[in-house]
Amino acid sequence: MIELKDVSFTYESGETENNLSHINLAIQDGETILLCGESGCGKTTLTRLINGLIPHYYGGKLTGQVLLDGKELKDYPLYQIGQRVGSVFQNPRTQFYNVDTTSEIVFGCENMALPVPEMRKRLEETAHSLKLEKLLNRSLFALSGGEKQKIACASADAIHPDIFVLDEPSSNLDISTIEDLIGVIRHWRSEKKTVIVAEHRLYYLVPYADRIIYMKHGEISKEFTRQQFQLLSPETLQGMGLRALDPFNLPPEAKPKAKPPTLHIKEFRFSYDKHGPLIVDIPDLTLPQGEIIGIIGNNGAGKSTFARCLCGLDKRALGELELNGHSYRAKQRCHISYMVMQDVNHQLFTEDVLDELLLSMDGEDEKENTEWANQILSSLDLAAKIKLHPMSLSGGEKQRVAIGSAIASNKEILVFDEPTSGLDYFHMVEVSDNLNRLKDMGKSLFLITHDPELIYKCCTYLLFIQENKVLWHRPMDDEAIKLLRAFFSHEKGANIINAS
Amino acid sequence: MEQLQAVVENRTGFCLDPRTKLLLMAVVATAEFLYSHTAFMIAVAMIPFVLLLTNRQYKTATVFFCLFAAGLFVQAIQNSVQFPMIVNMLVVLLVGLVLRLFPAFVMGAYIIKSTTASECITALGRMHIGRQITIPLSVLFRFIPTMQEESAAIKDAMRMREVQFGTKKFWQNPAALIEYRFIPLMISVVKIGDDLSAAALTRGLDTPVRRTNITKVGFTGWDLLAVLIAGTALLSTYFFSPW
Amino acid sequence: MENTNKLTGKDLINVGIYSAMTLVIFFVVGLLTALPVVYPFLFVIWPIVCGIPMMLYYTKIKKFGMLTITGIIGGIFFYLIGYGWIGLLGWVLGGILSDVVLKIGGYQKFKVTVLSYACFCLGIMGCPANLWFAGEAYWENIHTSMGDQYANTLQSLMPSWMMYLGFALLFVGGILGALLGHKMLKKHFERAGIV
Repeated sequence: MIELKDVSFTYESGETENNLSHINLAIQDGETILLCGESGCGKTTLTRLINGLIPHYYGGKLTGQVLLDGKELKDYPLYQIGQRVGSVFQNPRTQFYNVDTTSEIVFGCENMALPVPEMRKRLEETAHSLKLEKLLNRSLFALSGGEKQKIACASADAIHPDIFVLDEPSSNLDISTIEDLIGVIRHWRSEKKTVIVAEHRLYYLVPYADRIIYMKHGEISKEFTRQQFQLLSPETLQGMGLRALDPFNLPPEAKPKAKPPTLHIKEFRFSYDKHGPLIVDIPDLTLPQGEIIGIIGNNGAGKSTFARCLCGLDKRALGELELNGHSYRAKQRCHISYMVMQDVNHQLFTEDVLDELLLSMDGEDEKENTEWANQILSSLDLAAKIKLHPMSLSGGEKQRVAIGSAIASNKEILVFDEPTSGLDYFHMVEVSDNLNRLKDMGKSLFLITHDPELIYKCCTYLLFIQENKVLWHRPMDDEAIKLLRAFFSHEKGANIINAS
Repeated sequence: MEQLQAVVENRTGFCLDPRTKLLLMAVVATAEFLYSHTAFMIAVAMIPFVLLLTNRQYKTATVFFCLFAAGLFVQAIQNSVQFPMIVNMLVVLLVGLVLRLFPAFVMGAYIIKSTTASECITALGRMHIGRQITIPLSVLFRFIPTMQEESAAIKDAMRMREVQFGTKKFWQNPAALIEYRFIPLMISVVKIGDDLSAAALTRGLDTPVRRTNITKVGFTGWDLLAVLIAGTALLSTYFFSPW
Repeated sequence: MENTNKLTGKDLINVGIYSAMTLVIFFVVGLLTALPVVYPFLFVIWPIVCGIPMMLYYTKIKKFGMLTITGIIGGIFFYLIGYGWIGLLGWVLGGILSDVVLKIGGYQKFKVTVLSYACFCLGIMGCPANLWFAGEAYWENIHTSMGDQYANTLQSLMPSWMMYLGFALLFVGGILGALLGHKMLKKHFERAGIV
């Protein structure tokens, strides 16, 4: 049993968010607990108290008691807590230590100095129960995000802890791999383990949660049973900053334009080597300009590669794009298109926000440029931040700086790669508002996303890619919604069949 | 960037313990300093050459073979042919480089391509090298590919912002290019490192017992065979040169 | 958050991360300037560019031993890819020397950090010196096979004072690199909140 008695915590870095105040909570053995709430509400901090990272790794002011079976956790070193509490973190790319999957799964066992035969036994058991025999003996760098996350779960599982703590494990996963994650959590439940998950995406977890704990401003604001929670109306959830319980069947909110101008894609082809298979194969495609085009499709269908071709990021890409009477080859497309990456940290270079925008402009008339940059920044609610270092901003603000730099360089085509991964409802709406703002400026937007709520909120056109080809594309009408829903249920269903 | 493998595919029957590889590397690296006959140099060069063949690195082996043979040939005719002074010096330098140093570099290419990171760490553990070395080394092996991934992403981002070699923005401030390339890379590596430390510590990295390893390393008949053959060839050519 | 003088797992991971960063940047710089013409300049460019990650690293160093391990890691790395004993030795000695300077001078003072880093850079000499020493052995060979006069002319092209010049360049480069790294620390890393 885990007990938190009047626990308060303040990070030593002095940040105002994510702190906890006066938490009282008891978690029984074998319970599955879902922690939810807006970003910064402290749910991640709560998971860190339970796996011992606070106070052993993250410093700060801690009062109150965190007890595991009646013993205070802060009296035990992390490696002992680690044998009772297994952890899985948000980002699959950052949490692995080894370069191959097998070593990674038994990493904890190796540290505990288990004898090799026992380790082999555990490896086999874990690989079998989490269904990842195929992933053994592979390079971790060759795996997809979802596969990496499964390995992370396996690595925690092989230690045989009684308690699992997961901190936003689905943030970087798509719909079909989330189904794998469900399989893992169901397995742990069947073994009567305690499972504690902090999460934004609720739809997949609520059916398995015994209790749902809603946090706000570092406090436990409400507690629900599964039944109580499922009765909450979508509006109530939105008001609480929570994601939808059934994100797949929402009404579309954006209307496509009647007769938009078009852009043409001709003979788009790409493969990694000359005679290799085509990763993108689009002979002819006409799309509307000035719309938000959602690019959907299975994992590995070629969505990202298509987006890279569109932005001219790979010089080997063949084919042309026709826009406003000009025709652009791969290299020239670099000048008219811009991708806002999933990890926006990669595209911020300078020492303050204003410079970041100026870097995107021609250095002709500095005064005029600065004026324009200020205009763009205030339209993106960044006026107060112009002197700050871009990397010191929050995730959403960074994304807006990146958007700002794209506007500043007069890009016509903007591609967004998973802009809402790991965001709560309010931040998702904020991103959607930004996208709409860009649409109103007449930009053509492409949106690669696994977030159904975002698609329903702002997409006006859909483009479905399957096996490196465009299978269908159409404005967001009834037919498109039917196809979209069929795709979602297929994504969800495919893996349930695999899992059983 | 050279890096150890995560997994070695299609491994054939022949494989050496990493410690044997280190021993052979030590031999090759030491041989660089020895005054020697041609026969001895050939014997030294044969070690990495044969090993490359066993690991199916045919391309590297071929290139090495050709260069080494050319080096030997030039050295043999050096006394009979009169090159101009400058050319002669250059030739002597290059030949020295190929005959002396290339065996070690090629040996390196073999070790890198035939050893997995976890084998390397396990072998070091067996040699009683402590966690003060093995932990940083594991992290190094893990971060080299990570930095390549991050760096590729940053390069893309720079291209979209038209900050790259040769553009107008580049000529306005060439030094900034290094800044734009390295600073985001370092910031992201530091952040990844923080996450990684937390994840590793929750899985018992700091446990004060000597850790075990699932990776199999151990001496086999192949190791004995390799050491015997190499030893015999080197000793016999060193002391009883036919030339 | 325990304070001990022993290196913890977190410290060792930091050693790994910053060693990786420095080595990768070292390697990349080495590749970018593969043209033989720039080779002499490398002795300055290397320490200057590597100063950026190393100054960030120095902010994390509070204990003796971390730089030595970085030296050993660098040495093993270059040994493994074929730079021989001298490559290994150079990096290890550089690491130990810089650690000692830091230990004696104290971990807070910037001047000590600069000196320590400049000492660390001296170890870079291990890589080119490997070619050098192997060359020395080769001269012997040439002396016997080609005659003294020829060998002497050749040696005059690569005199031993070049070695001292190499050390001097590395040291100066190290100081400049530390200053550049410090500037970047103020300009980016501190303001980005990651120090």
